[in-house]
Amino acid sequence: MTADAPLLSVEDMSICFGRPGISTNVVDGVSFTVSPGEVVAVVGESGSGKTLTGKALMGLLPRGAGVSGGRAMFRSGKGGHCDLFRCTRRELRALRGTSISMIFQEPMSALSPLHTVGDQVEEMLRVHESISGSACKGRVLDMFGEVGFPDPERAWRAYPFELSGGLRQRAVIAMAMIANPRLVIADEPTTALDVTTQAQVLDLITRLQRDHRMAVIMITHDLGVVANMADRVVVMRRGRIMEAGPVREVLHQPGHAYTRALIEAAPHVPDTMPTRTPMPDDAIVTVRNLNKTYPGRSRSFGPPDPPVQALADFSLAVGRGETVAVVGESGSGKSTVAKLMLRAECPDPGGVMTFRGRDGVVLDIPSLKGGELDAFRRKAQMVFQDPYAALSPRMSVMDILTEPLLIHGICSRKERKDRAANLMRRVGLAPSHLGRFPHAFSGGQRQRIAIARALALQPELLVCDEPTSALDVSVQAEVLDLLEELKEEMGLSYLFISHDLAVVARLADRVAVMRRGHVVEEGPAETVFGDPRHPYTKALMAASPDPDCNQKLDLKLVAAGAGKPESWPEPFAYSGTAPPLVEVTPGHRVRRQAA
Amino acid sequence: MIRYLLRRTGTMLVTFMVISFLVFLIINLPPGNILTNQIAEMRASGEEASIAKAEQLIETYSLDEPVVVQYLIWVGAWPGSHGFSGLLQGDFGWSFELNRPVIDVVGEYAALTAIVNLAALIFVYLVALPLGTIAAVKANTWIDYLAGLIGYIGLATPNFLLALILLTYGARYFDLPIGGLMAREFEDQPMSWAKFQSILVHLIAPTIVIGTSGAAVIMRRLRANLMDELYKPYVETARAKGVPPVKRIIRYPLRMALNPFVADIGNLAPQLVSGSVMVSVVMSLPTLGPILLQALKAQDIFMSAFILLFVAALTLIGMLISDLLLALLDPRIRLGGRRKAA
Repeated sequence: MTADAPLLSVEDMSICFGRPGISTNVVDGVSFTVSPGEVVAVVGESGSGKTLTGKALMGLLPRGAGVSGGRAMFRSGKGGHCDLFRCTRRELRALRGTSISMIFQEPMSALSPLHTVGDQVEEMLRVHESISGSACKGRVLDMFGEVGFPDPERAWRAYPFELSGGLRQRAVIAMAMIANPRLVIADEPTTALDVTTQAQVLDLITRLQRDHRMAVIMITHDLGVVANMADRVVVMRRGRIMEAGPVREVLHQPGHAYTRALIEAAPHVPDTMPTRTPMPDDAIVTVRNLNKTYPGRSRSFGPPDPPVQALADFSLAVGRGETVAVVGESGSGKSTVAKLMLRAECPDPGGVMTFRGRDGVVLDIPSLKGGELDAFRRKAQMVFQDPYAALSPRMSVMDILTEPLLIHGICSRKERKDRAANLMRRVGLAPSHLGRFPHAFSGGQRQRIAIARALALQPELLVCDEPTSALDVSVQAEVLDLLEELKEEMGLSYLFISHDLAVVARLADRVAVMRRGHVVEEGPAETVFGDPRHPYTKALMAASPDPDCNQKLDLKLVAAGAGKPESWPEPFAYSGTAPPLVEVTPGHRVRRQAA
Repeated sequence: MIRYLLRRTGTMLVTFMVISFLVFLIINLPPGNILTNQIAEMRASGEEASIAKAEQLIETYSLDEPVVVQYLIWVGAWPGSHGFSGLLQGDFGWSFELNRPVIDVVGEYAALTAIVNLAALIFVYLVALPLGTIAAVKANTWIDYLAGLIGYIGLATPNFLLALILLTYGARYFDLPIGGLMAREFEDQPMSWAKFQSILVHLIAPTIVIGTSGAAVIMRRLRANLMDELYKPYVETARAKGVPPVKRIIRYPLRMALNPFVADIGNLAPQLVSGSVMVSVVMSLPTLGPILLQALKAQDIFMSAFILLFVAALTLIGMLISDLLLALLDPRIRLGGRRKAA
């Protein structure tokens, strides 16, 4: 934080779609300042106008949107001021990249797939500076080294699709930084990344920001990110600023009720967790030594790619009435677990996977056929991740909720309608909305409808695949509450799949942490969270940011556990075949070499 | 990249073989062709000499053999009555209708067909690329509407009508020659500079006539593709970098939108060849279209088989070219098999 004059001062900015005066403002009277070298976080949920605010400053508003009032005074190089909203296009182009640049959310789509990464980053220099090709390349390679590419030369030649998500985002950051801008606008720069990668990228942005003394406007929905990065916060809701101030004050003594609600809804891993009842003997699902291999892509000439082992030696039991969480990052095999358990796919031969319903009949899931399979499907249902994609836009809610009953030929027309109305009430929606179509509902409401659909057949087991990751935090909290209520009420058992430890900490009785197809640690939630043993579990916990300025990310722990299995400390490291799960305390098992 | 090229060429050759077999089979499917008709006539005449001649024809063309063997003989992979003599050896067969070797009849026509179609293809792309791009960038402005109007007129006007209009007014106002692909005095002459010039001038009208509808289709397609790409995040990235507009559009969205554009080359070639029959008749162009029509009507088997094969070859070469261009343009196709770097 510096005391000198602000680098950017936004005064009374309004943005509207359509013509000013006729349509209402989507961003209304927003004012804030950014000092040189300062990190200002703009926090808000979807629809708060935070992204539009960032884009307006770059002159990148989508078509149809325009700044309808206010000004944004930017102090350019030689002490002169200019109003970003009244620049000519040419002036604005000259500012972009060199004075103000932007880091985008989705690195894959923000980079052109047809140009090499080096080419795209270098373009920034070619557009703005007249320096020779080799000097350009030298600077880009230096920058690549600075943002942490292990091999800058190789990254230079690589195409975006050849890089991992984390490296892609590093390339986007390198592109934003290469021309030494004085202000960087980062729009949800880590939302698309895994938590451990997110921690490393956040650290990188902080380091670059300090080294180059740039100012950063950090647009995010995640208060944990704010607590770790920002000097000052601007909290937005529905286009207006609710509260603004230094990060400590806002997060620890929030003045506005909305900020308080946001902080409360933000999931975090509690320090102490209540002891849950031990797993009941009555298991609804028992899985032992299950494997799943996907064949490699075949080629018309030459040998096919090697097969991919998505799941290796997987064992898990879900007790009746229990919530078991499977946690892992992308590619860990957690979704494969869900698919196998619902018989959307069949596991490799060998291994055991049985389902035991309330009626006491034990079903061998992989070998189910015909009527037995139908009966099983009635008892095990799924809630999907994206409520926008999981509901057919062409079916009314009534059709969506009665379709499962219709397929399984249960009850009469009249009864089906009654059941649908009951389901709506149960998930907290009005039965009078049954005639509407999904587009008339918000994301949270849609997820409620998706849950109601899963409950229509009165299942015993519900598999929830990231049911809240597409939702805003406040809505997420509501949906999680609903899931917990329903569990009590209907005696459900949950298999809960998530990448987010904090979400899992709220409702899981037991947790299995997965990495590259292997369970690395499992046990009762309170022991896994209270006494994590495996470096990867520790890394995951260290990497999920808390909305608390006193608990910053511990990158040493992240680095120790987030890498390849070979890089894990002894006795956890392995290459090739994985060591077995060893029981460290009753019910708490960790994958490690036997002592 | 070299592996990709080899693989594509290999696939193309295999496809070509399959096509050649199918062509031969289909041509032989309907009962009776110009040859069997002649033979039947000779036999029916009852004259000994004729019957002997018929026997000799059957012998020469191995008509008593199964179709597969006849095919192999035609290709030149099986010894016929004259030993190995088929496509592979450069013997393209005999036209019974015209009583000349197929190659003599078709030779120059095939070359001219290739030239006319190549010219039309180039015309299509030269017109469609700028018009489609401008229409997309200036979508829903008068430029877009004008481009759209030209395109729809191109689509909706029957080719022969366009040909007549162009011939009439071209001759009246621009002194364009009417009909044919060269001035009379150059016909059957060896290639010379003057003949080449004459061909060029004669090409103008047919190129426009044959190419217009193709250009219209491709232009609309490019416009649609480009409009999808124009507002993608990577274009926004380029804006955020401060890349000037023209350079930005050419470098990013246009290159992405080119993929289907390039992939059309292969599809366009056969359309142009078969679509130009009517035009060739109207403009009396010495191309394969009318000859093919005549050969098919007369059931002149070797003639039609060769022409069909020639068109198939044009298509396959077009597709090969578009595949190679695609690989050059799009690293995702070129490097799809390469493992993730770094």
